[in-house]
Amino acid sequence: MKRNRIGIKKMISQLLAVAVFAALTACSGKQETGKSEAGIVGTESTAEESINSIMASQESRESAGMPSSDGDVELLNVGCIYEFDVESPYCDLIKYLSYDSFMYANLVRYDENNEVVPCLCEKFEIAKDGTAVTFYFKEGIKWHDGQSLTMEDIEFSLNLWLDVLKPSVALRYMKDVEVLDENSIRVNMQSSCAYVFLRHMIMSSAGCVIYPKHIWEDVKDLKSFSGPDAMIGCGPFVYESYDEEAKVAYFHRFEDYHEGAPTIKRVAFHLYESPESVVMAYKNKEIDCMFQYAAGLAGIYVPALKELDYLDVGEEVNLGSSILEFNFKDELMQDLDIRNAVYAALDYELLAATGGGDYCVPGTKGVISPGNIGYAADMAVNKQNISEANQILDDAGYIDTDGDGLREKKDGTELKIMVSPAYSASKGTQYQRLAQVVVRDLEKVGIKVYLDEEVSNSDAWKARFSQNKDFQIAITGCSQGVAIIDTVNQGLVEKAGSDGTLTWNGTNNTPEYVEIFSRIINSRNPEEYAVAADESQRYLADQMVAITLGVESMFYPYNTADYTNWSARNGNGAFSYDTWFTVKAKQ
Amino acid sequence: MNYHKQMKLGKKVLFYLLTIWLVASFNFFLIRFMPGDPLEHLVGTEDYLYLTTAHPEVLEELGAKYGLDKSALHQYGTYLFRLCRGDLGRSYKNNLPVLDIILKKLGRTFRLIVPAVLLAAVLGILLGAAAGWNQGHRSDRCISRLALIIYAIPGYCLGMIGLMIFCFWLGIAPTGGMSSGGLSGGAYIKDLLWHMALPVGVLTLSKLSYNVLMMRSSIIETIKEDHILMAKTRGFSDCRILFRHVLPNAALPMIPIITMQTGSIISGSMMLEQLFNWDGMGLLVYKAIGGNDYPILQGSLLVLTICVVLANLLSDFLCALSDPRIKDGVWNER
Amino acid sequence: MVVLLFVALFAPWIAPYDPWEMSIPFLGPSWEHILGTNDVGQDIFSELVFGARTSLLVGFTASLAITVMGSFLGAFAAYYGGWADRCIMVFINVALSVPSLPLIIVLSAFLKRSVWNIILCICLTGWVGTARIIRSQALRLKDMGFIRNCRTMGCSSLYIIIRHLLPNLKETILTKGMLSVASSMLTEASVSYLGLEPMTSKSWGTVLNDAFRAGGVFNGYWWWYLPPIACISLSAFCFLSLQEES
Repeated sequence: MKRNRIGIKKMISQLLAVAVFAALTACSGKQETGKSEAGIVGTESTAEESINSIMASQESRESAGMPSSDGDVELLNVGCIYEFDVESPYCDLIKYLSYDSFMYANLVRYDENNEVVPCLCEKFEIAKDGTAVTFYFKEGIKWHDGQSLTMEDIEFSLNLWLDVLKPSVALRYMKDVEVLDENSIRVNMQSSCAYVFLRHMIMSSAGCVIYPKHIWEDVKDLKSFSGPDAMIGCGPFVYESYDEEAKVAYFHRFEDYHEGAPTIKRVAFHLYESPESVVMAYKNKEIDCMFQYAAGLAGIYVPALKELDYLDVGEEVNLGSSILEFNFKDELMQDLDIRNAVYAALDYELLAATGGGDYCVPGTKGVISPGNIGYAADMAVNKQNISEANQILDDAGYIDTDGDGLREKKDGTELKIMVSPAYSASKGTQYQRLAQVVVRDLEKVGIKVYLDEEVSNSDAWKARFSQNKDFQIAITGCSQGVAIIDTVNQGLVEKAGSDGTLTWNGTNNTPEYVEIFSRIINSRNPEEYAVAADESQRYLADQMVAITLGVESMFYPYNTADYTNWSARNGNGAFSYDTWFTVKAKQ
Repeated sequence: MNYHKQMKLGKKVLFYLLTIWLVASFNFFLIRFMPGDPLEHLVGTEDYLYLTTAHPEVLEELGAKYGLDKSALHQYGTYLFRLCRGDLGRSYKNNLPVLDIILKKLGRTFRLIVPAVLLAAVLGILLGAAAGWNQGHRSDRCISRLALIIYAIPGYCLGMIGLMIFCFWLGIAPTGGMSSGGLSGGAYIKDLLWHMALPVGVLTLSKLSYNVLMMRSSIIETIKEDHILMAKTRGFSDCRILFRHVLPNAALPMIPIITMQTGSIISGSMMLEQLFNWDGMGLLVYKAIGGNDYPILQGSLLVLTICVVLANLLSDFLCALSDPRIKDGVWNER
Repeated sequence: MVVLLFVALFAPWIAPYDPWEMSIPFLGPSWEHILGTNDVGQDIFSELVFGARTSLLVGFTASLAITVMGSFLGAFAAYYGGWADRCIMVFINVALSVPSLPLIIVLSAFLKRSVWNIILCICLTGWVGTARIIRSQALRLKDMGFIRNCRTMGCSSLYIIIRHLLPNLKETILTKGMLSVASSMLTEASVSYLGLEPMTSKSWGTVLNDAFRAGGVFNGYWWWYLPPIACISLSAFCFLSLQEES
């Protein structure tokens, strides 16, 4: 196919060259014959000039066009486990693609090292005290419908975040938006959290992107606005169509993208239901790589993937991890002795193997995984020590008083712990399996434990975990994204912020802990962030707020047989922003 | 007589309407048992959490909008009224009308079911006839044993084995999905058939076995009847007796048997869809459970029930059409 | 069949390991673990042995309930006729029109997960088949001499149904019962394969589901996914053959 096309191109250019040559000789011949007639000569010479210019442009087009045509990827097939049920920025696929400024773009984005860099702005400046960030307008950015991006669009979008998309995490920081002049706009914060705010802005699950005002200003109900108009962004890829039956969404590159056109001409997202189907798709060579925000394939699939020689398994270390979380709203779990006993009772080797086969190892005390900014490397590796667990419980007064082999509470009443695993489509049944191991381990030290069977799907889980907060021990995960934005603490702490009014996802509101987390989100630069993160890790270890169940590798396999120059970003694997502009087809 | 017949038909239709009404009511009362605040599902968990803490008054307004503040009877009335107009509510997940979603997926499930039912019927009747006609021979034992074995294997197990063999070992079948996308015309149809082959094959196989067993016993019964013996004594050729006398008579009872399978074949295809990533009712229901999408779940149950009812009607109609003896269509007294 | 019963009854003695006990995960077949271990290091062979218990428990309890309920309702309908008959027929027709698996799935979204709820769901639609057949057979018997004699002798209706009507239908009941054991077991396997059973319960369907979810099928661990398929199919086959013979 490709070779054919190049052949045809060569032929056409040769033909053109011959034709131009013939025309030139004919012209020059005419010039010689018709010297006397000035007027005619004049027209002839302009004709010659125009022919020359045509030739020049032909040449220039060829020299500019050739490198792009011989290396560009015609169609990249990407597998993912998202839904694309409506043509709207709020459908799963687009929402997560927006983290990387794919179709909808944002003011800033991550570079390959997960550092924040400008995207839809010339530059941004964080105020010295960290309470505001100023974005400077960049000229020459176009929407997919041909209109230009204006300052009004940006102002409109930022206000949309503030007024309409409120529930989002990122927006809890925003106080107001201020247009300084026609070239700059300032976002004021509630506290000195501008540095962390930028990351929240990139990864906003509520769809905080820059919207074209000319389309969205009349929209009443944002969440139900859909259709082709809702798919006009200014990112490097343009929405083409969705084949509902095949479950493939097509995008093609945006030639006018302000950072240059991508090297991938078309992208097809194949949507699957589960990680198993993605593995099957790799086996069948249906896809070249996968896109799944912070959830690559687990290590248990690697034996099957390794058999496929067209792939690089794309291993990367998950900066987040599966975690065991204690509920600090629960009386029993508030007891540090219980938490420490649970810590000593767990079989970390088995937990790691269950979570990731050969590609997962026990983590360290203090939950935070290696590789994160501010990770304290001197923490002890998690290790099972049943006698110590028994000792802690005995010393604390949790003794079997009625002789049934199970421990009772200090006051002699029944001691019973519920373990609730999270439900997540991209993780399959992993949390449920981990929970079973935890239950078994706790039984071994004489605690009566049971699995939470009432919760059996993701919604019920959300209600239990985030709304009612009536779990005792939760088996859940800290995603890579959360780990990068503001550390695992986000899911553990209940309140934070300068005035303590911002509610978070966790249950712990110990003042000391709240203070540490507030320092993380209020850090003004990487150094402050690292210091606070380090301190939080030590606090987590001392107080045993949560336990990491393993440091695992995630796998984002990609096709190395047909394509080259992949560029991976931690959290997205091979299908990252940089890849779109570097990947090339092998000749 | 004619009046009598109409009465019977009318009664039957009434029966079916009653069935649908009962299932619809059942659906309504299931919602009452639903854990948590229905509003939470109407606005989505994330927004609900935010609104409960920040703007409870907005939630109240929404409650009034959805009629949640009225009496249960009033709600039941509006529910039935909306049902009659084909309004099954909106999916919690993406706010699309439930009926639209279900009809789309139903069409896809039918793509599996219809060819499978037809193939299973034709092949089942033929193989069953072959077995019954040669009752006691090796071919009979072979066919009926095999049919029994396949009948015992659940469809999804067959599917898994099929996936292993055709997909992983031989690599000639797709791993799932409905089409490869980006095709049109002949190529599209070819691609669609290629994707359909394995699930339809598996579904056919598992339904076929039952048909074979049924047809076999039906043939054996028919052979014993007097007019067949008569035909035999009159010296007609075996072939003529089989095709002119036995088959038509033996195949008749198969009509209700095959149409009555609709319920079980829907169940079977739901399991297979999950395995083959076929985006039909099965996958829809399965995903709706994962997201507690109650309108979808209830709508699916209702629509599937209506499908079965329609299949039963079809069965009555076919029976009455093909056999004058059972024109009164008394399938429920068989 | 006998082997199956035996295995189920004496599961704790037959199984080499406690199926909930965990050791090293993802082991292949060996002398210690005949069928290897699963993703949390549980012995697959022991899982299957204990799975036989669940399957048979569901199969027998559900079919017992179905058969008792079905035959009584069928017999009542036939014996009394009139309004009782009509009412029961309405229920039969309704239950007949509701596809069973979707119903079970929808109900499972509302009910707590337990084996007993699954049995309940199976019974909810399972009884109609039995009831229908019993009714039509009982209609035939009802007008026979000995039943009429009983009635003239002043026996109570309940007595007649229990002592005379049903015993004469015992072959049909038994055949249908065998069939419902098989179908209940298959339904249970489907439901547990879909992962709608309690997480820790051991059944053939859950083993198959685990094998599929934890990569057993892709990685070619045949010892993980083939045995449960064989178990499900073989046991269903057993009951079907029994039914065929009786």
